[in-house]
Amino acid sequence: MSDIRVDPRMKIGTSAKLLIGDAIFSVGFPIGGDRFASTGIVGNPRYSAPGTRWDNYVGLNIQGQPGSSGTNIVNEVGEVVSILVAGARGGDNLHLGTPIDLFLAQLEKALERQQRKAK
Amino acid sequence: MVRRVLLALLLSLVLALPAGAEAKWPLWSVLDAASVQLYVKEFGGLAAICSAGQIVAPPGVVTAAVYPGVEFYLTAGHCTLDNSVRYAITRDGLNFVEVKVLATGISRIGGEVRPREVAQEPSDRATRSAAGQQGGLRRGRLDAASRAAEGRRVRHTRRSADEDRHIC
Repeated sequence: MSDIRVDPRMKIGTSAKLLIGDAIFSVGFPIGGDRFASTGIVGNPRYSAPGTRWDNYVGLNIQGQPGSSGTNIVNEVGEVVSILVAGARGGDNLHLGTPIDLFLAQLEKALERQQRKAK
Repeated sequence: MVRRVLLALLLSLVLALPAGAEAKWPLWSVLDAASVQLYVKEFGGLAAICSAGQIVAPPGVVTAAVYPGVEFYLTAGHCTLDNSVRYAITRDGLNFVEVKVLATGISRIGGEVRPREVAQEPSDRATRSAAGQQGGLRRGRLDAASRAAEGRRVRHTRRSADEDRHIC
């Protein structure tokens, strides 16, 4: 796969339109090993679990282990819709991702702060 | 007659399948090319900690005028907590690119790439760029097998405060 020259950048999508069952794809580096491709589905676009601190996450039914944090989760057209950040202990493929819309909002604020500091 | 029809149907299915499979190819190619592994410098070498992906700068948020020539990567927030310099292993799996935390993401420091054998030296300065790196990546001497043999270590970050989840 690596021999094909492609633009090595992914476009940013939106997490607002995610639905249960949407196909998702990722290439990450679980357990510190080599790259590992994985497919899955959106378990719940607005996942929460009572008694936990989980809030504002995308529930991802996709493979992930320590080292997978930061894996960009893309939709069928290759747009980043979430970033894998955590998994349920003993939950197999139950993983949590930051919604990309939330990231963009935070990024905008953070960049503004940095630019103000620079001035 | 029925056999011929069935055979023709079967053949058409077999011939049609590869075309469908190829449709997914560009997606995996981009994912493969955009995905990088993050390392941090630790005592005794570098440790793999996280994954990341190179992204097109979000339009309207990051402008080329403010960050000319900067490449943007996206990773999890807890992978960049202490704002220290990180290293991203490149697509060919042989070189390290020096990256720094920018807001909630990280960015490549323009033009500076580090071959693995240099980056592995603990005494090496974080800002040092490898000689002869202008205009492209230099191929390192180590192949994937020898990298694996060196035993890359993974730092498993866990937060005991929240037993319900583990940080990937």
